[in-house]
Amino acid sequence: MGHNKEQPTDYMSTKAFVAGLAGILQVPPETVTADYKLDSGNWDSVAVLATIALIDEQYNITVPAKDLVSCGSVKQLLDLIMARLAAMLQSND
Amino acid sequence: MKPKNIERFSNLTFEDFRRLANDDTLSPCEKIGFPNEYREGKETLIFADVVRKLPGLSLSGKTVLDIGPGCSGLAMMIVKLCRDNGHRFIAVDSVEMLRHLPSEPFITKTAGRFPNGCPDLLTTHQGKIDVILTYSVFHYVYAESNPFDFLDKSLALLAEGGQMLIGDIPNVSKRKRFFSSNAGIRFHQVYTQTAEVPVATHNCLEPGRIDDGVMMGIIHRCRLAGFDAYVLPQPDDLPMANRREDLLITRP
Repeated sequence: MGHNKEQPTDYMSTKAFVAGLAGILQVPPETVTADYKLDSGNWDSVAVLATIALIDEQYNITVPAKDLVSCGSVKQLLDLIMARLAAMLQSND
Repeated sequence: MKPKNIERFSNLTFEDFRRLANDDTLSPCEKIGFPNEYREGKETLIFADVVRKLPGLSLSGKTVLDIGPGCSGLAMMIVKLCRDNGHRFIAVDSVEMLRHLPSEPFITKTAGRFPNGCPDLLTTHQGKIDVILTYSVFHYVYAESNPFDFLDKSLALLAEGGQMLIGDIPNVSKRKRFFSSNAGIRFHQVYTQTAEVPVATHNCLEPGRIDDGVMMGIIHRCRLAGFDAYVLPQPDDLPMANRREDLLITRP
């Protein structure tokens, strides 16, 4: 569903993810910039659970809770996702 | 009293459990990640509670799936019950853990991490499992993988009228409620052999731990998928009843 294995850094893919994340955090999408601090709002256990599902749905990878909670900002979260995607694509080569 | 080696069993991963299962210096309880003080002598009580919560186990000729059975007394009791009641028993765990279970015709051992490590099971048994048990497992799933994926793929296996027990889930909200109570403070002081009062901070976000929000989120997801789902307490005589609880899911 909408995940993008071939072009993990695709702009639309990231935009859709950020929109989904904004929904989870219950904030307007335009406020969720790279520097957005995850713990500044509703980054609770349910948000983590929903974000695991969002990443799975969007990118077809699993980023576990213990790794998600180590991310302080949206940029760190996106970097983590991209690193996982790169590792997955490398292992598929 | 606080077990001396408790740190050894903290934050375990699937790979850690494989190593524990292969360590023959450990007791069966330690192999599944519990200090002996937490589980020894209590597994009969846990078994009785599981059987009470999963009536399908007391019928005969059913198909029973245990996700992460481990190899302690509880797993052996489940195996015996399945033998006595003529059930088919499917165990999903690491090959290292499964080698400790008996090999008998009614037992199918599926080595791998559920769900991604057992794709054949997911295909061949879709809608065919009468009872699913996963005990003291879900918090590792929450920490290490996608809990919704684990849940969705488990539910897809359930037959009509089937039941799933996700047992022994540590709920940090429940733990805080307990340690804010007089009973919890007394418990803590006996456990630590000190006069200190346990710290239980409410209204703070702990995104990496299972709390009431996660429990309710799981129930919500099950119910949206057409299943009934309930939070059940553990009897007071179970070793972690003051901070853990169970989820019972049934397919109507």
